[in-house]
Amino acid sequence: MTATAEKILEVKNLKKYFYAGRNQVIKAVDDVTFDVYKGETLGLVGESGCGKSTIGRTLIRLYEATSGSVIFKNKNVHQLKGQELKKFNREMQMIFQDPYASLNPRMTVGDIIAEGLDIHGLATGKARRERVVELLKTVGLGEEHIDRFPHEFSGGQRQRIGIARALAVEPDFIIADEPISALDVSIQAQVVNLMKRLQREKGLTYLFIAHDLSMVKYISDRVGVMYLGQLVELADSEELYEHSLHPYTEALLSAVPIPDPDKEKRRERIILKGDVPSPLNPPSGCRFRTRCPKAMDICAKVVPTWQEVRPQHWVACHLYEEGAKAE
Amino acid sequence: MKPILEVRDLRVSFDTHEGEIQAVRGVSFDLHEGETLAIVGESGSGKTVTVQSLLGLIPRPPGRIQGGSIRYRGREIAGLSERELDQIRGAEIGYVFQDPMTSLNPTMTIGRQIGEVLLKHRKMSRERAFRQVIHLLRSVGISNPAQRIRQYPHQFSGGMRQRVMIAMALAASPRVLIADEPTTALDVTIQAQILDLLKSLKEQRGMSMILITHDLGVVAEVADRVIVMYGGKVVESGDVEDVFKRCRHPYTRGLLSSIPRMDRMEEELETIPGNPPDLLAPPKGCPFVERCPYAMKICNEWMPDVTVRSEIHQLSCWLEHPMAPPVKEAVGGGISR
Amino acid sequence: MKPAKVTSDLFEPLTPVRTAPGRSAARRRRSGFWRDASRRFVKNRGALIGFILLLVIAAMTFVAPALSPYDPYEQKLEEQNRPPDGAHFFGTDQFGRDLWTRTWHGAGISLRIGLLAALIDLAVGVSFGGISGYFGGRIDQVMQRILEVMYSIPSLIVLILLMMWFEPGIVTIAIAIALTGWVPMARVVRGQMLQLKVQEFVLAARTLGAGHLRMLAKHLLPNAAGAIIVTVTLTIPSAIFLEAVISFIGLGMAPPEPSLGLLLYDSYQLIRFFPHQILYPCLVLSLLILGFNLLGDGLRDALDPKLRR
Repeated sequence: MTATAEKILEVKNLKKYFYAGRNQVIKAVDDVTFDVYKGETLGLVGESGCGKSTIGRTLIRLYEATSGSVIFKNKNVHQLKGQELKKFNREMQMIFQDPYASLNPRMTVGDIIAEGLDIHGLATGKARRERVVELLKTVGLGEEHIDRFPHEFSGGQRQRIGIARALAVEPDFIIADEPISALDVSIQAQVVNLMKRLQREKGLTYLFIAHDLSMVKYISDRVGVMYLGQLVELADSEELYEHSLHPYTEALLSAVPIPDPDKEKRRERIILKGDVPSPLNPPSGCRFRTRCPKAMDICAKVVPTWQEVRPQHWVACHLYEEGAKAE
Repeated sequence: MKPILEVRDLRVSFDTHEGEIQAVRGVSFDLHEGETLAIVGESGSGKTVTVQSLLGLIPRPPGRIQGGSIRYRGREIAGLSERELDQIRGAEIGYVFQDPMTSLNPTMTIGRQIGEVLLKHRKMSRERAFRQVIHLLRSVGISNPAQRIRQYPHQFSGGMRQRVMIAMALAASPRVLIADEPTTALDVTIQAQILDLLKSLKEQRGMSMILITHDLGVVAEVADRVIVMYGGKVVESGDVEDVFKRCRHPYTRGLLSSIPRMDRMEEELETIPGNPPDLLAPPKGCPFVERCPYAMKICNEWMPDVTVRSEIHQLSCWLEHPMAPPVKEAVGGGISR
Repeated sequence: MKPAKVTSDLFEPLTPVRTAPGRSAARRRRSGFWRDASRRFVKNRGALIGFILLLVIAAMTFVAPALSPYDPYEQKLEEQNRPPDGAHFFGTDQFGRDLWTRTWHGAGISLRIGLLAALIDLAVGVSFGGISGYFGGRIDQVMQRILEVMYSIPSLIVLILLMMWFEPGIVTIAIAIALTGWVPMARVVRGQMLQLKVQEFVLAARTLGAGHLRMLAKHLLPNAAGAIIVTVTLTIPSAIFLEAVISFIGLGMAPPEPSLGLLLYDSYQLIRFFPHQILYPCLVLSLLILGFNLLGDGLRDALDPKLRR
C-alpha cells in the first residue's frame, strides 16, 4: 500500500440531482461522504444507475454539485475561480471509459497529448515535442505515433493515449472512470498494470470507478460500494471481501463469477430478486430494502446512518445499528 | 452417440474496402446433446462470426462462407437457401443476441414479437399462441406475464429484455440454444439471474447450448466444455477441468493469468503483451505468434497441428511437438513437463 | 500443415518479430476522415454526376459569354424571336438578344447570388446555432424561441417585402435570401453542438481547462464540419431557386441584367408563341439545382459519421 495518512480529498454530504422536466428529479448522487488519502487507490463499484460515474464527474467539476462539498487539497472545488481553477485543472485529471469517443478524431495523437501543455503554457516548440515523446514512451507507445490519428490505433492503445494526455499536466489525483470496461480481457491487465506502475513512479492517487469487482479489488487499497446514489459500504479491499457486512455487498460478491470450475460449482449464490428501482422514485428509508433478503420493518421507515462498524470499515445498514435486532 | 452439431473446417471472410478480412480460418468443433459448450475469445477471435454462420446470419455480401461443413443432426446445413435455413432458425436452433437494447423491435409489443416466432414454426390458433406466450414469459421469470405481454420493449429493463429475448429464442422449442454474450451488457447481479435461468431452462427442456463469452468466470460457472479461439482459429478445446486446470496453450494460460480473481490476493497480474491480430493480413503460421512468450521459428511459418491429449482435450501448438524444447512453468494451474 | 522436413533448428526461439505497437505494416492504405470520405464520394455515381454537371455549368458561365460573338444586352430588333439555329443556339428573345449568351450569363449571376447567399447563411447560421448550442441553458432557450418565431414566418412573404424595400442587385438579393433562410443551418449547427458537447473528448478538454475559443476552434467546429458542409451545399440550390422565384414575379434582378429567374419572367409572356425562350433557361436552372442536390446528397453519404468505422 502506498497510501499515507494525509487526506487529499474530502467529500462531505455530496448531492447531485438532475432535473428532467416537470417535477422529475433524478437523485443521481444523494448524500455521499468519504475521504481519499494521498497515494492510495480508492475503488468505487456499483451497478448501472448507482451514481459512481456522476460522482467522478462532479468531483472534477464537469458537473456542478447540487449541495455538499468537495474539498481538494484544502480548497473547495466548486468555489474555485480564475488562476486557482486553472491550477486545479492541472492537479486533478480524468481517464475516460470509451476509447473511441475520448480522443478527438480530427487531432493528431501528438496534439491530443500536448493539449494540456498548450493550455497551461507548459512547453512550446522543441520542448513540447520532447515532452510528448517522453509521455508516449511512458505509456508504452513510440515516437512514430506522434503524427498519427486516433482511428489508426486499437482500443488499448487509445486508452494509453488518454492516460498520456492526463499525465501531461503532472496531476496529483486521477479519476479513472471505467477505464478498462471497453477493452479486451488480455488488454485490461496491460492497462491496469501500467496504471499501477505510474502510480508507484509518480506518487499518484487514484479514484478507480468500475463495475468489475474483481479488477477493482485487484487494483484498489480500499473499496466503496454504491447503490442507487448512496454509499452502502466502504472498507479495505481484503476486509470488504472477507467480512462484507451490507447485504448488497454480499450479493454483489456472490454474483461475480470466479474462473475456477470447482469453486464455481460449489458456491452458494445469493440471487437478488427483481430489478434496480428507478432513480426517479427510490424506495423510502433504505433504498436497497426492496431487494434485500434481510429487510426489516425499520428499513422502510428510517434511512440507515453511515457508521464505522469495524475499524476503517463503514456501512449504512440497520442490521448494524445500535440496538438492532439480530437477523 | 453422434454429436448434434458438427462443424468441420469452417472458413468465413468479409470483403471490405480495405481488403478481405479472414474472420474464421478453419474452425472445427462438435456439440454433444445436452451439453453446454462455451466458446471463448476476444475481439478478432472470430467467435461471433463462427456461431452466426451456423444459422446463416452473416450478411452475404460482404460476408462469405468460403468453405467447411456444418452438420446438424447429420444433415449438412452450410449451403442451405434462406428458406431452408428459416425453418431451422427458431425451431431447431434458437439464437439469443448480445444486446437486448437493439435486438428487439421497439414498435411491436413483446407479446407480438414472441408470438410471431411461435406462429411461424407451429400451427396453432391465436388464442393458443397467446396462452403459450404467457407461459413462456412466466418460465423465463417475468412476473405478471398477462399484463406484460402487451407492453413494449422500452418498458422493460435490460435484464428483463434479455429474458424476453430468451423467451423468443425458446418459443418454438429448439433443441439447440446459441447464446451470444447474453450477459455482457448486463449488471453483474442481473447476470447471475440470467445465467441461473439459462441453466435451469436448459435442464428442463433437455437442450444443448452454445455460449459465447469473453468472461472466463462465466465459463467456469456454466460450461461443460470449452473451446478457446484466437485469430480466427481454435487454439485449445477441452472440458472445463482441462482448460482451467490443465491448459497447455500459451494463450489460454496467458488469459487465465491476466484476469484478477476475487478469491485471491494478487501482487501483479501477468499480461499478454501486444495487441489482437490484424485479420486483414493474418500470419501464415500460428495466429498467436506475435504475442507468445515461447514463439519459435516454426511457429511463424507453419500452422501447428492439432495435438490430441485425450479424447476431449485438444490444442494446436508447436510446443507439443516431440522436438520442441521443454518449457518451465510457474503459473498456477499450468503445465509441468 | 507441416513443413516437408521438420528439423530441430525450426524449434529455436523466434527473434522478436513483434511489430511496433501500432497497426501492422499490412495496412498500407492510410485512412483519415477526409480520405475515407473522398473515397466514398468517388464511388457514389450520383455525386460524381452532380459534381461534373456543376463544373460544366460553371465553366459555361465563363466560357460561353466570352466566346460568343454576341453581347447579352445588345438588342437587334430585326432579329427578334428567332428560333434556335446555327447562329443563335438558343434563339433570340423579343428584343433580338442572343439567348445562348444571355442564358449562360444569367446562370452565372444566379450562381453568384446562390453562393453569396449560402455564404452569408453559413456565417449567420453557424454563429447563431453555435452560440445557442454551445452555451445551452438560458441562452439556448431564448435563442431557440427566436429561431422558432423566425421559422414560422413565411419566408417568401418576408423575402418579397425585403425586395420591395431593397434596391435589387446581386448583393441585396443574396442578403435578403440569406436573412430568410438561415434557420435550417442554425438548427443543424445547434444539433451538432449539443451532440458533440457531451462526447468524452470534449469533456476531456474541459477537464484540462480549455477555454471557449479553443473548444470551438479545435474540438467542436472541426467535428461539426461534415454536417455544415453538407448543409451549405444543399442551401445553394434553394437560394438559386428562391432568386428565380422573386425574379419571376418581378421583384428580383432588374432588367436588363439577366438572371435565370429574370429570363423566365421575360419569356413567360410569349410562352404560347415562342416556347423555346422559356425552355432553355428552365433547363439550365433545373440542371443547376439538380447538380447541387446530387452533390449535397453525395457529400452527406460520404461524410456521415455513422458509416465510419
